[in-house]
Amino acid sequence: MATGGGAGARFQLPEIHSFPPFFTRQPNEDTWKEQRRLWCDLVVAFCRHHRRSALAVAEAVNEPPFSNPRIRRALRVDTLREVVDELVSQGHAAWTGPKGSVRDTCLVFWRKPEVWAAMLHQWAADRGLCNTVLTLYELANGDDTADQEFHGLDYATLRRSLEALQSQGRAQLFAGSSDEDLGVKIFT
Amino acid sequence: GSTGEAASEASAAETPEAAGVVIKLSFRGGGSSQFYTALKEALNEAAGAAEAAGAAADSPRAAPDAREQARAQAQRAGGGISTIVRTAHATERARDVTLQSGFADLEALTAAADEMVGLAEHIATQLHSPAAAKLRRAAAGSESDAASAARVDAFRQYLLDLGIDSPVTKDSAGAVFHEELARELCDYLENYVSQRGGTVALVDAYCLYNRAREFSLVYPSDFVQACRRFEALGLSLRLREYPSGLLAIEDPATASDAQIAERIGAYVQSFGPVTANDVAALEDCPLTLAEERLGLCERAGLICRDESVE
Repeated sequence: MATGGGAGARFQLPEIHSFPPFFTRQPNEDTWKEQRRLWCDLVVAFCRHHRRSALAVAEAVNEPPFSNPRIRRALRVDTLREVVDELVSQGHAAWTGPKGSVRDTCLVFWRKPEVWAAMLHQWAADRGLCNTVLTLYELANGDDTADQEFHGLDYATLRRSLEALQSQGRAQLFAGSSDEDLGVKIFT
Repeated sequence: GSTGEAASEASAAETPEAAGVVIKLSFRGGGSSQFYTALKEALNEAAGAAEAAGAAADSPRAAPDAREQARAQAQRAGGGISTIVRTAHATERARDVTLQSGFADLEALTAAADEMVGLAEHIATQLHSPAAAKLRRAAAGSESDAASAARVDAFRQYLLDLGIDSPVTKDSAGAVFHEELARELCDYLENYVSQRGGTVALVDAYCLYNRAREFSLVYPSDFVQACRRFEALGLSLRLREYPSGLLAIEDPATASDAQIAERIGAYVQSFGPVTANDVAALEDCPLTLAEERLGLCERAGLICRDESVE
């Protein structure tokens, strides 16, 4: 499985991306639901391809895929917010940033944290590393994980995945001075 | 006559204006009142004669002699004020004559106009009558249907342009003003609405109707209130309010939302993306109505919109 970014193959944009109305929030609710679904799929696929999770809405609309210079159209910020809101309700994203602030930064889970959690647990069990304290750094960048899909995963997503594991009662997190130092003990 | 000594003093006038003779009369044997009456009469006659003399003197004549000039001037001065009065009288008389003749013309015109409108309405009712329809069918062989239909349409247009006789006003209808107005409106607008595809913008109908009413115009608020009564009165037209707030008069029988939506959808399929301007041209309707029709089609889910700064 490829661990690097999608440096080889370019991300394939769907045909609808060249259709100017795709970038206008449709007033007809049924049409909008379909449009939103297509955008959600696009966001997740895009992030998966580039192994990118963090998204800042206000800036993202100025770049592909949310802007298509060829047809001179771009998504509006509040429309993108609506798309992310839908992703959040599906469990595929989470708003980050201080509570009560305008929703701008988010994390896109192109793979759900629960799925990562299962993979982490499996790996720990396979390597016999259960009940030992591991740091986030080790998990994300250690040699032991080089062949794993979660190698190179961003800390924010990794942390959420471990939190999910913790809430399942299968791990315990220990706060460190920084995210890198965050410790986790995965139970059997 | 009166016997009396008349002592006359003739004071020679130094200036022509002061030329006059002073006569003192004393009535020893009475008769002064009769004399006074006779004198007054004589004076009036003399004044009339002086006017006439003054008129003669007024005519521009070069007076070569200075004394001649003076005398003429004296006569003119004497008749000057009366000339002004006479001129004023003459002007007034002339003005009266002009007014009379002027209004006489106008009366003749309005009388003719009333006749014309009455005739037009009579012909209109004849046109719509069953007898006329029968006649038309009978005559169908002699000329093509299209030509006769075109002539009938042209004639209807003339009737529209001609206006309405005895329009409904608050005075004529009183309390049921809006109802009566609604009926008159429906009568008048039916044809126009059906010609325009079953829907017209309220403002267009208002302008057309008021133009026909000519002198007794209708307030916009009264117009709208009357239109709101269409449905309650069971008339063939309806007032419709679109989501954007646009008001239109429609004939529900001929204007169907589903049909409109389909038609617009077909435009988009054949021509690709269309703007409201394109639709206005294709449908031959005002721009506001074109936007509403696009909205109809969008709400039906047949088309989607593309908004951009372009």
